[in-house]
Formats: sequence, structure tokens, C-alpha cells
Amino acid sequence: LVYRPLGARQTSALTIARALKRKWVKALQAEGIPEPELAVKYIVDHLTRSTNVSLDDLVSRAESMLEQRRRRTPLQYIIGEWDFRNVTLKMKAPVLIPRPETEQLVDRVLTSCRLASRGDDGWVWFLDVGCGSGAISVALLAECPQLRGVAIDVSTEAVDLTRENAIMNNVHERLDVIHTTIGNCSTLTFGGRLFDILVSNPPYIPSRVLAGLDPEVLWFEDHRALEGGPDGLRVTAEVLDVAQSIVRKGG
Amino acid sequence: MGILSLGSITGAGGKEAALFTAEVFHMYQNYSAFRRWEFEVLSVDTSDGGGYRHASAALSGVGIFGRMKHESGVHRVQRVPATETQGRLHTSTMTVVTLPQPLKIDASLNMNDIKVETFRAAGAGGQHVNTTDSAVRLTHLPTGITVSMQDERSQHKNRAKGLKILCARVYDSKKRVVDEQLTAERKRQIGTAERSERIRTYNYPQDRVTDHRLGLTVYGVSKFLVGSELLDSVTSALKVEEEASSLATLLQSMEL
Repeated sequence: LVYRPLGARQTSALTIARALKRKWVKALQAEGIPEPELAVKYIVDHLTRSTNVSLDDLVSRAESMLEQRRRRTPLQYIIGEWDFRNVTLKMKAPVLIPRPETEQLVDRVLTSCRLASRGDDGWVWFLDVGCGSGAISVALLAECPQLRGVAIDVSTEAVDLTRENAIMNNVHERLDVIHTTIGNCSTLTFGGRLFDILVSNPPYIPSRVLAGLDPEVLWFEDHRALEGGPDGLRVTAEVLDVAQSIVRKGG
Repeated sequence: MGILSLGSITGAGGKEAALFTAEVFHMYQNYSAFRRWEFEVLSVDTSDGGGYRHASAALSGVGIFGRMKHESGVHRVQRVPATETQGRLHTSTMTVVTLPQPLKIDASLNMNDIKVETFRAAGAGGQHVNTTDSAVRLTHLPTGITVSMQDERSQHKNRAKGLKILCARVYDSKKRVVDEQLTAERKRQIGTAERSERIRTYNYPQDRVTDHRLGLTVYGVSKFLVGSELLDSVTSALKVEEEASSLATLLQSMEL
């Protein structure tokens, strides 16, 4: 274990971080902003990691980012990126920010992926319905080299962001991203193929609950990614309807 | 198939005792060859004069424990030492300690033994909430060892990192327990030996080795210290004796 003395930049950054923390944790708490200490920590971390930020810039940029947070902008949108499983993804409003629970959804899919046998073309195919930022698709492709997939979303912002994240993580050659609805899926031929796996993290919040959510969610994230009709299950039902015609037997 | 640690510790008698300690240690080394066991010297602490203050070895093979466990205790030698100028008879002692060698510690963790705690929203979680809290706390239920990890932005990564650390800490804890048990057992044997009578006397003038537990005497000290048939005959007799007495105890308890 070797201890390297902190460089001048890092020492100053620490001092700045402490000062920012003192000021802003209080300011955020006063507004009832949840997880204020994490907000300061991640913003400072992010800025100190970007080498092209000078120390003078650091303070002014941190302050403006923290002011955004004070106005309830989700941290992930402020920083513009976040980590999901082992990949880093660009985050952009209003595309839904991946939830930590979804990381475990990918675990389950991975188990299926590893069990599935390759098709005649040598690949195992998945369909990601409602891909959002592309978290599920990109994580799957990054962790399972025998996978190829198609990702769909009704939002053009989501489709663009998924493409960007796929390129950023170098899995774009194994992912087709299509702007379309679930209903269209059964008519789209996808090259005459049936999928081995269908994965989806559809909106599931019941409509009447939506209005009571935190501002971070309500004001900034795409409601189409959140709202699931009266009982929250409308979209899930649509996905299941279509599943039969898209997924191969035993998939 | 057994594995044991053998310790030879010098007792009363200074350099002469240390010489005797070395001789007894070598006797067991030869005995292991005789019985086709593996004998791996672990440590030797020599004294000036050529003897051993203490020495330890790891033995492995078939039927080891049955034969070697009766060797623990104080061994006494009566002879005129090489260093003695006036031909006086000296009595020196050394102690043998035999410890079962621990089996390999299982370094793997059973996921069923681990409790994973992550951020819990006050109300509904998942899509309902935005969070940046990716902290994970892992608890190894059988030992109560806990690891908290919040270095990474992804919960998945925190879990993976935390598990690695938890694994290492649980292993260390298991190892410490085993080490403590061994140390305690070693102390106990030495303590018992110090408080008890010698188990065996090696008398040079009369050229005999007497095992006091059996009241058995064999002749030829030098030959005995070679560690083959003579020693073997004594360990066999001790083994038979033990079996007989435990059989007797068993029969007694059955009659009750």
C-alpha cells in the first residue's frame, strides 16, 4: 500500500469541497432537498475529475450546479451522466434516470442470456421495450458478448440518448434502436426474427399517484416513462400482449 | 489421514536440554520416514551448543494422530552430558506438543448468509423516487461482520466491492478463531505437561527407555532415538492401551 502525497490541486480541491459542503448542505436542507450531502459530494467529485476545470472555475461551476439542485433538478441531469452497473451513461432530461433496482433486473436477464442457446446466426437476441437512456440494453451488451438486441421507445429523446450511450460504451454495433410504439412491434418484421428474450422496465405508476411524487420526478422526468394508467399496469399489459408474437417458443 | 503440528520445547537443563530437544525432534523425523508420513520442518530455534530451544514440524499421513498424540508431555533424559567435566549424572527435560493441524479455512461465502441493505425510500421506491444514494451495507449473519460501501455511483459496483471486502474480513475472522484455538490448546498441553510427571525417561547409564504410563521399559536408548521399531513398539502399546481403556469405559456405561 503506497500513500502518495496529495498534489496541490487535490489539496485545494479538498478545502473547496469542505467550504462548499458547509454552505450548501445547510442551504439544500432549508429547501427540504433530500440527500444534500451526496449532492455536494458528487458535484465536487465530478468537477475535480474533469481535468480541464481550473480551480477558479470549479467553485463557480459547483455553485451554479448546486443552485440547480436547490431548484430540485435531479443530480443526474445536473452532472449529465451516471453509472449503471459497470457502465457510465449520459443522462439528459426528460429521459428517465435509471433506478438502482433496475440493476438487479439486468442480473436476472443475464442468467437467462447465459442459459439461452445461440441461434442459427450465432447470436442470442433481446428486445428492450421502453429503453429510455438505454441502461438495460447497454449493460446487457457490455456484460454478455453473445448478445445482440433491438431497443424501442416512443420518445425521440430516448431513442437519441440510447444511441449515444451505446456508442459511448462501444456496443452500438450490436444494438438497433428504433423509434416506435409497442403496438407496432407485432407488425414490424425485425428481419423475420423472433426474440429469445424480451426485457422491459415499463412505466408502472398509477395515474392518481403521479401528482404526489417528489418534484425531482414530477417536474423533470418524462411522464410517459412513469405513468401506467389507472392501476399502473396498462403498459405492462400491452407489452405482454405483444410478447406472444415476438418471442420465440421457450424464450 | 491426519495432519498435526509437532512442537519440541526445551525444558530444564540449559544447553544439555536443548541438545536433547534436538535429538527427540530428529527421532520423530526418522519415525515419520519409518511410518511413511510426510514431515515438514516449519521452524527451528537453535541454541549455541548445537541444540534446539524449540522446533516445530507439520506431519501428515495415515494413522498419525493415533500414534503421535501420546507423545505429548515431558520427556526426561538422565545422562552424563558431553559438556560435563566431572562425570556427574544430569537430568534434563523437554516437552513435546502435538496439535491437530487446521484444515484449510473455507474462504467462500454463502449468499444465503448475507443480508444486503440498500437505500429504502420512505414511501414507494423504484420509479416513484429519484435517489443518488447507492450505498450498500452487507452483513454476514453467522459472524455479524458488516461492511458498508459507498465509493461508487452504481449500487451494483458497491455491492461487488463490498462483497470482496466482506469475504476477506470473514476469512480473517475465521482464521483468528482457529489460531486462537491452536494457541490455547498448545498452552494447555504445555501447562499440563509442566504440572504433570514426565511421561517417559531416557536413562543412559542403564541404557533403557521407560514409558511411565504403561510401566513399560525397552532397552537401547540410542537405538530408540533412531525412531524406528523400538519407538514404534511403544506407540503401538500405548495405542492398544487407549483402545482397551475406552472399550472398558464404554462397557461400563452400557451396564449402567
